[in-house]
Amino acid sequence: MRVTNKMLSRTFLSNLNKNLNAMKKTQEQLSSFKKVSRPSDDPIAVTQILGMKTTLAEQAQHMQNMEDGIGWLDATDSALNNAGEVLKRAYDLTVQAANGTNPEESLNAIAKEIEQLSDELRQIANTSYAGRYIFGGTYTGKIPFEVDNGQVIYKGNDNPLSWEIGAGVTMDINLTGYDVFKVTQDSTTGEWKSEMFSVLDELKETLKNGGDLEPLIDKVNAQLDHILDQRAIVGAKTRRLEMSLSRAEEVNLGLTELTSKLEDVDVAETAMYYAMQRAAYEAALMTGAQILQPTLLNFLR
Amino acid sequence: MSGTFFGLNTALRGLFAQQKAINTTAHNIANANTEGYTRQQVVMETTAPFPMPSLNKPGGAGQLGTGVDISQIARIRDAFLDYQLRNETASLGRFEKHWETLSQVETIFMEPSETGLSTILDEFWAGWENLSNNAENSAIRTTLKELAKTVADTFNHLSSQLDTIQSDINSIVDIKVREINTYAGQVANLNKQIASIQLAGDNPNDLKDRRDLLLDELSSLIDFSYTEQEDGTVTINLNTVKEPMTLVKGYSFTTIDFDAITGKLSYDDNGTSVEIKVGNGQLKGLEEARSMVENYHTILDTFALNLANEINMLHKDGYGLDGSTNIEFFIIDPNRKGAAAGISLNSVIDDDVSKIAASSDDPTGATKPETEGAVGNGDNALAIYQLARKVFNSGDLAGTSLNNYYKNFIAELGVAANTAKRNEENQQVLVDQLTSRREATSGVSTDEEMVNLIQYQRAYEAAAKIIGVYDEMLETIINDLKR
Repeated sequence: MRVTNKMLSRTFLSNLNKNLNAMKKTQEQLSSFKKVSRPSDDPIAVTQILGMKTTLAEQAQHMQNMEDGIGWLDATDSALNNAGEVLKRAYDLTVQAANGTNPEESLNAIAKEIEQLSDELRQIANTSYAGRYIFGGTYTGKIPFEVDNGQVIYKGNDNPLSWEIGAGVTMDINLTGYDVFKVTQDSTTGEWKSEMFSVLDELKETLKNGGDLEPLIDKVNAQLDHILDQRAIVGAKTRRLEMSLSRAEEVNLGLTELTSKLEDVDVAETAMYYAMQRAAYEAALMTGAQILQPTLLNFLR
Repeated sequence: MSGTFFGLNTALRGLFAQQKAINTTAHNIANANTEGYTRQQVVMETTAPFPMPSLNKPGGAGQLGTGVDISQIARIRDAFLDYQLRNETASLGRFEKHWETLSQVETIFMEPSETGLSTILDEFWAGWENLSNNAENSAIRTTLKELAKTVADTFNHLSSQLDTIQSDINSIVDIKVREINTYAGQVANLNKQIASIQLAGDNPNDLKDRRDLLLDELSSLIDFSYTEQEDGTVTINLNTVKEPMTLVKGYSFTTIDFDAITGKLSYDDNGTSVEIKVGNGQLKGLEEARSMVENYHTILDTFALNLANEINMLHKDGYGLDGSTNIEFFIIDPNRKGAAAGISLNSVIDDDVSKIAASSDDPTGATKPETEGAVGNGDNALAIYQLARKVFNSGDLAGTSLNNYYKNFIAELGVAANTAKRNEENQQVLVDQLTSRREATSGVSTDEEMVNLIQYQRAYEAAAKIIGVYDEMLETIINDLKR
């Protein structure tokens, strides 16, 4: 084939350009730390990256939900613990009062303390966590247990707060006052009353007016047992959340690693490539300088 | 018997011929870097020998040569290579425009990145989920409102950017059509000059180079067929939906028009407008790119419309903190072209975030007294959040989910852009190769010209030497015989 000077320079330029383009791509990767910066770089990888990022975002929200849920359940648990303490004290006082050797003043004093305990229990039932009443069902914005004519009335409902803790997996995060404090509807007034407060009320009245305290011991004890049952439920829920959370963290780690593998530049490898491309580029420049110069002209006198 | 001064003339012809050859060499070297230049070569021929065969020819052996003459100065060019190269240049122009446009579209969508629609939607969905857990929290409601506005803004922005690309394509086509008309006029003009020179019996080499260069340029714009006529003029035909049209014939040319609204090219055939069928070249590439962008626009609109409709459907069923219900979350302005351009957050929600229907029950108890105060209910927000993953059985999104519809689109765009890029690169290699082959045939090699120069110079010197020898011979006859 006939080779002309223009062909040489054209080929040289086009190859030099190719080298430069390759260097530009590698430089872009090195400076952005990303292997792909536009869909056409690698359509499949980009789709995978987008999918994983969505999963990661969902996962992050779920983990956040679980952490919030654990906080919520911790608050519930400590409230129930306090309620247990209150009922335990009430039980002890009932047993002491039922002993039969107490003078009237001391029975009155016990009645006073029971009243205090009832108030304290109501305070516990109105516990709020991050500004939300935890025992009100979905009625998180207002006090669930109100005193009306000396009676404790439940203003909440028995609806769960369902939080998503995994894709399509929801969990009822709250215990409602309805369940915890054994609320039933009064057949005559239609009001929602708590058995727990009614028992304390009955105890107080019996202590004041005198009467058989023996059956009340069992009744108070039954309330204490109920609270313990509820704490078991809270414990089970917390455990489920903790396990899910640690599993989610593991999955998250794996996903992050996979995304990074798809998306992030292997610095050592890319730097190597870059060095090779640079060498090729320099070699091209050098040959260019040597090839393009000489023609026959240089050797004619 | 040849005359006394016979040889002097033969030598003189040699001098003239070598001089002309050196002049041509000079022209070649001067144009070594001229775009479109074809190297020229002198064709030397012996002149008519002496004596001519006839009855009364002088006696003696054989015919005596009378020297050399330049019969023509030829262009060294391969017409088939031109044809091939123009075909491939047309394809290159087409693929270039695909890649140019698609890479612009890619830049608009900016995936994968922290600011792409995909990430924004991820955050938007997370906003709903967050709300479902904290339905009464006004800070979280406000966050969701801002995220929703970002989603709508992003849709609006993408839509207007795609519109810009489309109108850019139209103005580029308009410019290219003007270029075609200019080229056609120039070719017709060159036809005239070439024909008149050829009529005089000369080779209009340099004019033909210029015309070939114009044909090269034209081939990158549009596909055409051309034939060189006897008189040296070139006829150019374009395909139309009917008979092929004549763009250039002889000394005249026809202009073509572009209609930006229909996106069609046409020419005026005696008062009727005939549509031109573009099969290749940049114009074909632009036409195809425009329909690709149109398709992406439709996909974006479909996505925006379905996203808004699905969310609205659930949102209307739910209740805001103030008991408001049957409120649309996103509004789509029917006066705008496409849902992506018209989508916005309902201004009612923008003004009052308590109207976001996170709850499945009326917290004011207006409709159901027993639900009064149930502000913590986030069931509706959760249902809306779960829309993201819901796989649809029918409709525009059949077989996919809102989450995946957009990702599928990005994959489609990526594959299309990747193919366009690869096509362009491959085609470039092909065109480079053909250009090299043409250069191998028609290009000026300075080495070769130097060798020719030496050759012609030596021949010139030798011819001059012959004249010297004759001079000496004549000296002998004229001066030495005198004594």
